[in-house]
Amino acid sequence: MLFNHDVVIVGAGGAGLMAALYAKEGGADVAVVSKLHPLRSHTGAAQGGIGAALANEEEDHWMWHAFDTIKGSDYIGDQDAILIMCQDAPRTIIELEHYGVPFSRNKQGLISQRRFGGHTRNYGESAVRRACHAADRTGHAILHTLYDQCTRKGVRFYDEFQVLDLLQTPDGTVNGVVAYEILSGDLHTFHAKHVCFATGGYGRAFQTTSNAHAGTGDGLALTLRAGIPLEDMEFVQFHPTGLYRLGILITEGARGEGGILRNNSGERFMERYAPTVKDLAPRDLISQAIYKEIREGRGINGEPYVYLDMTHVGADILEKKLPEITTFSRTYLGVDPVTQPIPIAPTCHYAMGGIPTDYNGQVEKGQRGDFVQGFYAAGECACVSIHGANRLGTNSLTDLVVFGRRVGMHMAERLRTEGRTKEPLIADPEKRTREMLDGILARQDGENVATVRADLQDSMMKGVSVFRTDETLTEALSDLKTLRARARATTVRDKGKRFNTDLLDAVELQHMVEYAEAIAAGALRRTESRGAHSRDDYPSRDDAAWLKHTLYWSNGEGEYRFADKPVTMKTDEFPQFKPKERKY
Amino acid sequence: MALTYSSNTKSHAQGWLLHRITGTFLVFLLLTHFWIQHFDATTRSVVEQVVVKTENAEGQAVTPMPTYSENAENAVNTRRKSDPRFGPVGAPVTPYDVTMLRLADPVYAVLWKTFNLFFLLFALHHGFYGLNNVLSDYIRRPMVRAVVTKLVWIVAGLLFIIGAYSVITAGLNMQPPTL
Amino acid sequence: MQLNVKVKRFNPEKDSAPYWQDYTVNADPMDTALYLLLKIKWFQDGTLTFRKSCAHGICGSDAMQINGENKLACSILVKDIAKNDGDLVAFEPLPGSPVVKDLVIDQTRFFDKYRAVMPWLINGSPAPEKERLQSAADQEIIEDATKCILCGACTHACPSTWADPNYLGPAALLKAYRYTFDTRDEGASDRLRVVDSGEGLWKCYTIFNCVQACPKEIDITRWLSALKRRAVLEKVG
Repeated sequence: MLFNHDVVIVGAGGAGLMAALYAKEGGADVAVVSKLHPLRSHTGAAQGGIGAALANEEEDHWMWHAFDTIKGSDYIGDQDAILIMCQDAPRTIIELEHYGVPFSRNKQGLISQRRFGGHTRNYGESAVRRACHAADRTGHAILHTLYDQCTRKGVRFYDEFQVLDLLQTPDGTVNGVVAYEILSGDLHTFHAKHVCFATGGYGRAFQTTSNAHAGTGDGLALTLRAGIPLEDMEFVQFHPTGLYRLGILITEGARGEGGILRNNSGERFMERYAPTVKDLAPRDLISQAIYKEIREGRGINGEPYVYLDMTHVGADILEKKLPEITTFSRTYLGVDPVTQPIPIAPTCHYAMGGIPTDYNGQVEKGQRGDFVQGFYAAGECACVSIHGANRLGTNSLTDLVVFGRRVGMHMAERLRTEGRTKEPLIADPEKRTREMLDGILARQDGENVATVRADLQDSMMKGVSVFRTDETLTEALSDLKTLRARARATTVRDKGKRFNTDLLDAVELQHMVEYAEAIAAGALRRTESRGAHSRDDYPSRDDAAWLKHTLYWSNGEGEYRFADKPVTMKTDEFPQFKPKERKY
Repeated sequence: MALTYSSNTKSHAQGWLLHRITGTFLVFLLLTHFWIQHFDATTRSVVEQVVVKTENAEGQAVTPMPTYSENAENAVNTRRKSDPRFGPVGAPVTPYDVTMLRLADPVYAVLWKTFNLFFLLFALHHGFYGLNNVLSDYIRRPMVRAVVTKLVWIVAGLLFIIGAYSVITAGLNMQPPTL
Repeated sequence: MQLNVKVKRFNPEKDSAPYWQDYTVNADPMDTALYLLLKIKWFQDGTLTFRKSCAHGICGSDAMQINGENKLACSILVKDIAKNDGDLVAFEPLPGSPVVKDLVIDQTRFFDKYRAVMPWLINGSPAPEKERLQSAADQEIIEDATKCILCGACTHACPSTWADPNYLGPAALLKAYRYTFDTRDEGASDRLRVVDSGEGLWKCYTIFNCVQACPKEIDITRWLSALKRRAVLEKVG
């Protein structure tokens, strides 16, 4: 079938719903196409908070927030976009509150704020309460409220429709998508004036991850296939506190409320790595510290994990302010955080890199201002770039809502000024997708999808996780060459049309190989250590050579090329944003 | 099939609230009823003997009348001395006698009849509201449901008329026993 | 340990009726029930179909009946449903909605009911510059209800819903409570008109199945009772 809408948003997490809501309010006819029901999106898993300098608890300024974000990014975040985000954040949070988000409250009845890693007062002086939260269910509260509002405003939802192709005119203008209706197995074409990708992260390419099963980075693979580059893919955040072996997230808010990391001798080891803010250092530093402790034999009982000790925090705070993670720990590990320390290890958590956009979410072909017409991206799949080499806790939700909102308003504004006429579709737009799916279904012999996927996750974990060297990355890249071929030769057992998730697993596996290569190749190319990208063989930051973004193109056959993109600096106006050594 | 939920449908709050109120009163009404029937020294029947079936001299099965305590027999026999409608002194005491004894005093008669009318009304409302709930759970078609609901309340109304008639007229035209 | 896993399967494309299929799965007592299904899907039978996403009980995709109780498959461990080798673990779709395929149910009606209760904040007065004030105590009134993930475990455990599929059901009514009792909301009378109907609140007979089924341990019946009191006060008081 053919569906016509002004705006088609792919993905229904925080960024997608924000874009949908604001585009709808701006008068656009909006469709949201998502492979999951919107409420199943992974924004709902965000726990600890959303950063904004509301100053509800103590003095705070958006400039301090911007400084922390820039420093947190290891100076590779674009400073114009960061300034916009930190200025936009307070008013966006207030709008969310007006929409009904059930934030926790402080004594004055204002939105309650707490401390979070890397957020400081007065340019790094000491920790500041900046994370607005709804207990430890902040993302869940925001996601549900946004869905409620989109329902109210009449946004058209296509639930459980998986987008499998991005449609372009011969000159590269994006004018629609092809989606597979999971229920019926039918392909549909969505014809649109603007397409916005809000497809989320890709943590499932790694063995241990806090991401949902749905986090397979589909939007990134589709973008690459359309000849559009990805930016800064080598920067992958490992969250320091995932439940050991499971990877389920224990919010940084746990340390914000006083939690302490301890090694096998009970030592508070973060005192050695970040003497000022200790356990509230940014995630890259803590994850690297934990790996170091483990490598040097100070893991608990010689196993690859350490303890997150909350026992001194008290049952009251755990039950009231951190109820979810208290339950997780009890349910999945049988450990009661009130009386026992929680076994934790770093878990793949967030993609700093993604589809290159400007601060209105317009996708860039390469250099600044050179836009792919009709194409936007927002949220984790986009690289604005706010987070640079390392994202600060709470800034993901801030990114989603600020840039989701900006994209929505920008698309609506352009519809008003440029009219609604759409570029004509190419002939038989579903052909490529139909052939791809039929190819998978027709194959009778081949490897099992899960086996290939497990090997991919294993390779990425071994070669491209917290510590990287020339050797591990080269090995991962060579694995990926074989994995690409293997992923294309898998066979599925379910040959039916109805709710065939077996088939979609096979498609998603091909997507995963696509961007996994971008991560590994980018990491091999960047011969320095910056933020979450930590090279044992190049242990220090090299601003002279590498204070720049990576752009990566692939032809989908294992051949790729790179280009550099300069980092936008605002150091003339704001000298405090000049790159310095990053100490906490 | 998309469902439609209209905000113009009739409120069901009052019915639900009445169900709670009648339910609460029924607890007290039932307790009083229970006390009179089974615990009060004069009016209680001796339950164990009610259920025992016996045979008469010809070997036919008979269900005996409930027997009453000495208190009740004394009270009825005392009454018999002055009121022939209660039959001869020493005749077996029947539930009818015991009830009539209660209604013989006009002040008590008014109190007890009021009590029973409320009892009847509340029990009927409570029971038939519940019955309607059950029926509306299983009747899906709105038209059928509306008709059945009305029918149920008509039946309840008829039962109330019959019950009220019995309560009001009880003892008004009391005749001596024909036995 | 080795478990005997039974799954109630049904693909309307080719089956005339649901049937049970047996699998043998090696499991660790600390595995989740979801992981049992994933092991089957990944390595034994790719046709087995179920929804899943976050795998830690916040997205609400994998509500299903496990050993006869409505649970989130990712939030229950093997040790809680099986003790010994050879123990039986049975998976069925949530009861009371049409089955799309295997453990996947059609949630159309469930979300129609959600939409019916006007599940959004209604406040017509002009928005202030800053946030609308709400005391921590006032926030506490709705806190428990905001935990809801709309997984459907409660509504599909409710005998009133089983008997009358049009009954709004606990999930939608809880949502109505969450907004009606939000001190920032001014839409109570509109919302109450919907929940006060014949298919609304009054079909809650305080059976407590919803409370037992809720994976987020929300005291649903308590909040529905508060909503009933509010509806009565609105009409009578």
